[in-house]
Amino acid sequence: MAILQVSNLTKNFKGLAAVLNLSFNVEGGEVLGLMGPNGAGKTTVINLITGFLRPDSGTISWHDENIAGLKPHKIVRRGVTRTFQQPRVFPNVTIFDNVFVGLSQSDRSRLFSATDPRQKVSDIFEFVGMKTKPSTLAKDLPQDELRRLEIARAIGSDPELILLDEPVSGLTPEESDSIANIVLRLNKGGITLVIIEHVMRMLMRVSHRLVVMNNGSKLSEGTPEEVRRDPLVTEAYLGKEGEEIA
Amino acid sequence: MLKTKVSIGRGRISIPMVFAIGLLGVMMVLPFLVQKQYLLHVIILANILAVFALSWDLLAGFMGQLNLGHSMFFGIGAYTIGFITMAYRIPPVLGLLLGGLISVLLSLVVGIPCLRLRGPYYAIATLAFSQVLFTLAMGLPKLTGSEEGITKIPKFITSIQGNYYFSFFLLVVAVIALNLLFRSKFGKKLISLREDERLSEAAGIDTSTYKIIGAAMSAFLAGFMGAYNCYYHGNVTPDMLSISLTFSVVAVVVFGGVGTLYGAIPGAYILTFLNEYLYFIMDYRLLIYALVIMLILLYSSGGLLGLLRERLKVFNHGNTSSQ
Repeated sequence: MAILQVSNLTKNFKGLAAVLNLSFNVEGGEVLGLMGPNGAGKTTVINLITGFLRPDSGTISWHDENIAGLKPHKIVRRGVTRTFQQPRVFPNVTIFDNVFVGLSQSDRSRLFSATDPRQKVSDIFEFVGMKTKPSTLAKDLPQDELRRLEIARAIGSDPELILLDEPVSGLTPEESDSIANIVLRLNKGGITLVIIEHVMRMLMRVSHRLVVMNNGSKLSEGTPEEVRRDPLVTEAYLGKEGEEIA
Repeated sequence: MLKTKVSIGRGRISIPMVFAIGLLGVMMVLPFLVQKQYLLHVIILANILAVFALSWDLLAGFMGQLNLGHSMFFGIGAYTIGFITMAYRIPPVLGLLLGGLISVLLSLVVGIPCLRLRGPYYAIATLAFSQVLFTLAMGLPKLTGSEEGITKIPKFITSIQGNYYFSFFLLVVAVIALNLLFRSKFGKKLISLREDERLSEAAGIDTSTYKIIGAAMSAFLAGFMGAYNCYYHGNVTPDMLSISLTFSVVAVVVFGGVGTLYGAIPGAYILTFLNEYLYFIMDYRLLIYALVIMLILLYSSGGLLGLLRERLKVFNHGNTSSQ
């Protein structure tokens, strides 16, 4: 059953269409990969779904409620959260507080049974495999721990859907595998995920379905295998057969 | 974070804590040791300035919301007492609370339209509002007494010793309250606004509401101290709404350390004593402030407290290395 329905979504920046009549669904419990060349409009889609941008037209239905244009914190409270392409943390506060401030008020949690906030943060850190001490300032974290911290912060709000924007960008293959494992465990725990990623190995490994975007529109949709075989996708990434590279 | 600790009995407490307790003890007995009432008067002024500066630091240092007209909250608190006491006799505690509450109302009027936006709007609006209020205070002599202000306001506490202890009590309460605030989840959310407002939104924080509440808390503290300042001096003048007063608190906090909580206290003491004992160079006061602040910032971006922390770190590191 679709928990998120994006219908005819359009967003222009100064007359240039970043997203154009885009429609796709996200089924509850799946991992949906959102892929496309640079500038395809993937991050804009995440910004529109999470309230960081207001669409020019179209609807974003979350459990049959149109959330398009709602403020980001209201969307988070409905169970939709995100991470950012460039890891964003509160740099001058501890990594514990980075998660603590966004912790859901609800006693019920999809993944964790602890009701004590401190225990909950500790459980989240264990879940994402944070190795750094909770009292460390976030600005002192290495890149892979920053990524884990972002995911930890997202988990803290007890979401039903997490949108991850290039979660393994800048990481080594080993670190990327570790993040992929977190994604799989989150999904196993009942959390639905939408992932933007350029690292195909990661995307093919974790995604149940893929939506491919090009120039703001949907180019292809299907299982990883179906998308892999789609000539339109090959063309978008590699150019037409026989086309000369300028 | 300071690591230096000493053992007392079974417990271990930090050296800054021992220093703070010692200082607290000295401050408690000071009126019995000092014959000069003028010194106590200067300390009262420093305590008032310190709490007022803490209220600015709460908003600018901890929440990242620059306020360039903070004196208006202090001044409105003071004028509230001035207007009320002309017509009614009210218990002073009620007067202090009213001073704070009227400032909160003013902060809502300025904050609700401006704090919803990102950017310099709040800083500009506070500057503009404070200038309007200053002009009104100067230009409505029948209501405000113009430059002379409103005088002969009955004093809340008549003895200098009483005011010394009361101002000191207010400073301690403000420090404890702000300390508790920033240890709470609510306070940590306020700090997150300074760190990254967009990320705060992504973490589910209603940033507009938190900014408005934080600004109201800051205004309450400033208005409360403005009201107390009015009771202490027995008058209120437009100076309490002036831009130079705002820049004094900015100087105090920058000098002591922005967003450090304790930095405003040494900042207020040093600048008040400089002000009182170097009164003969009053005209160059702001120039001297600027020079002192530049010197401090040259050595430490964290102000006086940051400099002290860095020195203690070096000291600790030296001790550890030599062991």
